[in-house]
Amino acid sequence: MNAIEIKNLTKIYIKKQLIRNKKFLAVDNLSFEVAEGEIFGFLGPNGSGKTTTIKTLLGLLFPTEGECFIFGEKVPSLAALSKIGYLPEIPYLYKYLTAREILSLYGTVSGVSGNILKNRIDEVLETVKLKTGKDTRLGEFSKGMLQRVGVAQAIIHKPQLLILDEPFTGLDPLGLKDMRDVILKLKADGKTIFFSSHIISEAEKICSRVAIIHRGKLLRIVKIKEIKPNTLEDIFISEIKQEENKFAE
Amino acid sequence: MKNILSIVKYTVKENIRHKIFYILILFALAIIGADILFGVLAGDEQVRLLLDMGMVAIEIFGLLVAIFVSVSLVLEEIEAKTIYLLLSRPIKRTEYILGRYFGMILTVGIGLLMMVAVHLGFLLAIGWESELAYFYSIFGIFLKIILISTIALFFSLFSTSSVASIVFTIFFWILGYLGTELQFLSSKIGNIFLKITVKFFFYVIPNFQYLNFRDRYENIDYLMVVPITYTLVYSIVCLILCSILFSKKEF
Repeated sequence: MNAIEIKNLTKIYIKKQLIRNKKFLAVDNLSFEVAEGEIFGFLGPNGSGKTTTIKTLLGLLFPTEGECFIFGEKVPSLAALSKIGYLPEIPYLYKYLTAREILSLYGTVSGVSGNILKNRIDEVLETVKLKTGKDTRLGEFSKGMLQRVGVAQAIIHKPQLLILDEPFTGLDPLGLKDMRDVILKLKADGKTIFFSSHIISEAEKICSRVAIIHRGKLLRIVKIKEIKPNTLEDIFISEIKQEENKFAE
Repeated sequence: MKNILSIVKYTVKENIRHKIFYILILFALAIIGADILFGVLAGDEQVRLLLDMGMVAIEIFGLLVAIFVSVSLVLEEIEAKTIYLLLSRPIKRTEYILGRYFGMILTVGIGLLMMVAVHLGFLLAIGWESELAYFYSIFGIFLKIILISTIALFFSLFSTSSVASIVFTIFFWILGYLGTELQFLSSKIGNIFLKITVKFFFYVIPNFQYLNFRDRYENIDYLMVVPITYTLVYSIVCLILCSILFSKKEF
């Protein structure tokens, strides 16, 4: 079964104005699948529709046209959401809660509770290497520590599918390595990982396939095994340039 | 139910660690200031003034806290984008709204109790003899807080601006005390369009006179059937509308 299936997804934002509504096409007839157990990179420049697609998968946005499925469940659906762990680009966490409190909240609403949750919190804090400050309010955390809590909340309920929005952005080299290790460990545990990024080198290191998207359109799906090492960036740039030229014409 | 309780819990924690205590400190200072001011007045007059002024202060502070907390309840979460992480979990949007709403009511209720404790402390210190009507009046204030909070939440889901939501809620709050006047006005107006408009407002705005025991201290219906039923029905209708609005919202 596919972990993600997107069929002819189109999303148009409508900005209501006094006289005439302004429309913006964010995702244009997008279709692709992500197989269970693979690491799939969703690559595109800023504003290409990556986050819009992710938000639609999470039920935060509703498609204008088309449909999306998570493990066969049409979204938006609670059954689909229970199988997803989501890490946003910036970990939007409650700064008045401590790391433990926030993990307890997200764990409970994801169906983990009692002693299992307590043990699970210690386990995930260990996984993300958050050794200190477990009972400190998040408002006092550094960016790197927040990112670790962000990852911890995404995996607290042992989801089958991880959706990570720009997980490598803003990380230092050590942070990058830790994030890569966490993703690879999750894959080894049989999880499916779908992440958006514009850091091509990281995607090439860990993905089995990547999709290149620009102006909301899918340009190409690349199997990493089938290309020469260190050529993904060139492929990405050439695809984007071709699309830009088409658009200019 | 578990989901709602979890959201209630974090809402209370968030609010108590956030802003409500500053407002309460302000209230305590206002009461102390009033006490010193009224200290110059003698005996019974001092008790009466502190009793009345205190209850007015509790109501105004309570309602203001309720309006500000309710308006920012969801809007702040949308602005800070913290809502993404909750709504991407397997919880219904109605559960989220109910959890946030009850968490807010509980927080404002805790604040109200603290204000009442400060007020009672001063009253007892100057020799006030406690009466049941006082506690009924405080309960009336709590019912008003429930009503105004629901309205504030409803307006906040309509607009993306906190200021507009606060202005609309305060407009409803003021009109809430003018129910009788609106009814009188509608009977006197000849223009059918204006008549319908005034009538509409009369039925839509909450009627605080049902809950205003402060002003008719000797005349309280101690069974509270009408005030409680009115508050419940009005709030439930408002919450259903909030839930419908929220279910259509995109983030």
